[in-house]
Amino acid sequence: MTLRNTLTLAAAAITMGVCSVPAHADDSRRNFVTCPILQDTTTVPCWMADYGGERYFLGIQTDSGGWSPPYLGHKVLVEGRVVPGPRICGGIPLTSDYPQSPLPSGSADGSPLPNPPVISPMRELDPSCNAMLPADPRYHIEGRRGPGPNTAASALRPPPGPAPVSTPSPPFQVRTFTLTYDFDSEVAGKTIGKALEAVQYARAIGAHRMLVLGYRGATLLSDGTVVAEIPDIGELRVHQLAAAIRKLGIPAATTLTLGSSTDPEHADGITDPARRRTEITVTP
Amino acid sequence: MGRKRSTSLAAAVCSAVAAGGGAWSIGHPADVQQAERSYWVSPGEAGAAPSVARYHDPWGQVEVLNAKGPIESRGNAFFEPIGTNGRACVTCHQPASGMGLSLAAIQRRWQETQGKDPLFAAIDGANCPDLPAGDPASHSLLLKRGLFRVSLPWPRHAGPDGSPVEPEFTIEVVRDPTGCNTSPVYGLHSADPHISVYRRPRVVGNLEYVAPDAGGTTFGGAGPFNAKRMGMVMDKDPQTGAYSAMNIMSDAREPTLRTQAIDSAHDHLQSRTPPTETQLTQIVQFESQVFVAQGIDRAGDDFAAADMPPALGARNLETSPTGVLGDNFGKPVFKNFDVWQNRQQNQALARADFRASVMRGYAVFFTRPFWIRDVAHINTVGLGNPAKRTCVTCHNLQMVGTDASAGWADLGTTNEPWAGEPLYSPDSDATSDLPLFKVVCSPNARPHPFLGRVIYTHDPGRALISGKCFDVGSIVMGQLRSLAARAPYFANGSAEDLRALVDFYDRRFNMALTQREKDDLVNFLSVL
Repeated sequence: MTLRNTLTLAAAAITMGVCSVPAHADDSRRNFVTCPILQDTTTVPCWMADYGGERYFLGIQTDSGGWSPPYLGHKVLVEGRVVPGPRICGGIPLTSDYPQSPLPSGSADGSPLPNPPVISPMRELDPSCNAMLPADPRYHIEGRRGPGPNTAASALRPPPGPAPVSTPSPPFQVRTFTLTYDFDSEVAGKTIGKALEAVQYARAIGAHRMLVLGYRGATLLSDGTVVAEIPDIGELRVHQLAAAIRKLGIPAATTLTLGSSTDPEHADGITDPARRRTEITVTP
Repeated sequence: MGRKRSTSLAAAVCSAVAAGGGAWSIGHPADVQQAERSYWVSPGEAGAAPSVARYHDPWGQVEVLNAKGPIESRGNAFFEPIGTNGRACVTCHQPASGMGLSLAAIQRRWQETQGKDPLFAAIDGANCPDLPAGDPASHSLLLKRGLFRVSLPWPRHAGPDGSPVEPEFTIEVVRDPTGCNTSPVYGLHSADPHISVYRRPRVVGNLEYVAPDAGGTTFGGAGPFNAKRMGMVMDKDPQTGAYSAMNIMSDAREPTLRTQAIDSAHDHLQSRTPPTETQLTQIVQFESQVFVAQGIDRAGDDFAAADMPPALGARNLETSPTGVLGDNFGKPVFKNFDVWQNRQQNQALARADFRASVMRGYAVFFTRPFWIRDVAHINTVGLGNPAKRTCVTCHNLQMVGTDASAGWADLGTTNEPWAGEPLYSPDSDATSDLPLFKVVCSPNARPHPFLGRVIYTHDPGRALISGKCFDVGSIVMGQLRSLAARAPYFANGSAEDLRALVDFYDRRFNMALTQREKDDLVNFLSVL
């Protein structure tokens, strides 16, 4: 195991936990950590969060294949920006540039819901996060999937099939596959398919080497502070990903090399979710 | 446990159902109207497992269908005592118990054999192997809750496929009523450290829907990754390399029926050598073709008759497609009960009332939302916590009601504070029969999402295999067929009957079910 072979990677000026840097100039950005709030409706619940004296709409309960709503019992990191337009479930809607779901997530008062912001349930329990607000008849939400069986047309749409695997031809290229993560999480839930792509590519080209690197992210919050992930998250990510890669079956001739960083990545408040990552580099 | 257990052991044994005994008889479809009288099949017994056989249960009759026709039990490894203790697979998977093993059958067998049946073998039929043989107290968990001892190495260092496991937690024994976890021979600090947990046998039937090597097409068998966003690769069939659905055992430790048979022959039958290829083939072939469901309900409806709901009865299980996600996409989990909608002329009022109750119960099961909260591997798979959903959110695989994804979740049946075991009180002599463990997770482990890093549990479940703190208390969901014939329920036998099962959910999720809704749910579950 080479997990302790910490590589020297580009490091931010912070070493751990929280520090303060100037806030980003884009005043539509809303990055904050708070308790989520469940606002029930007559259909599916809305997920909300309060920050800076304002209430924000994060998204609605959906199927397990799409956006991941927060957890009561845990604080949540919200990374998004304000969407111009009417309030939804009483909150200012937030969105992000990171697509959360390949499927439409529903509508509010007949208008499509925005692509949700990036949210990460925080790792540790916080019993103070326990707010459930009763259904408010003013809010009209149509979920792609309601609380019960749903035979709406959108639900009948088959899920997207796997991407076709193309057979590469020489000269083979060095390719890097990137998996992204929730804040402080080592589980690549939504992007784990990249591991299979990497293994398939390694098999197809008879790769000489697979290098797996794990990174520790950080997020610039709207109040100017930076929160960094737990120090060993890069190692934990690599550890879990390497187990998956081995189980998928790498070619016998391929050397698997692991490394991770404890230095947090640079945080800009905009592209931070993309730097909570692992990278699998496949070398011919 | 939804209801307080106050029955003494002796009284419990004496209350076993009283029906005639004897070997099962040869049967064929023409005589399915006549219920079999046998409640017990002994290993090595001559005779044939009929094409279709029915057995009385507390709610009517359960039906066992052998799709390949009558099977001669003599010489078939499923029925033969291939180990050293006189047991066979059939010992714990009895046709009259819906291919599981009811507590009533266990108690009656004890009475009839004075505890000498191989069922009560000390290795796992006793609370601990070193307890005095023949004493009911030595077998109290089996006789009172239908539980067998499952002894697993701890700490575990390798998974079923040999991949390394690095346990993220330590286990401390808080309470050890069986003495086995603190035993210098069998316990956690013995020379060969093992943990003893106590579990119910699962159903051997309808496995085309559950087990990939039974020819099914479950969702889990379709791809390498667990669909529950665990970032994990599924275990493989060591023979074929195909990915497993990991839904066979309550902790998913064996990927296929074949590997499970090898494991069980060693652990439960005390076989000194693995089964032969011929024996394994016989076992898997038998298990892959047997279907089981309630055949006649309490009101007398025979599900083999025409104009019966299309999900009921064993024959419909044999003929329905497998691997159908029944939650949405317009495919209800247990299809529909439309043929029962209109009361027929001359139909007895009691039968019409029962049908109406069953249909209402299905409606509750399928459409009544409630807050599903704090369930690891359910609320964490993208639904959020809590999620306003229905029973079929988890019981989503059409015809059997298991989870199409690898179905382990921490429902709370084994972890406190939800497990429902009696709490200590100076004013009560009620105590739990189960061991209690304190699980302490390492600081850098991903904690249990809703219980944190210190967890009190009666059975860590899947975590004993994965080593992960997140999995503590997670149990693979069992199927919902032949329920009437095989009480008690849940992996630890904590729900003594269908009402206790419904009461657990009502309490666990604050469902606020009305008395009628509870009755309807019980009646609905009884016809499956």
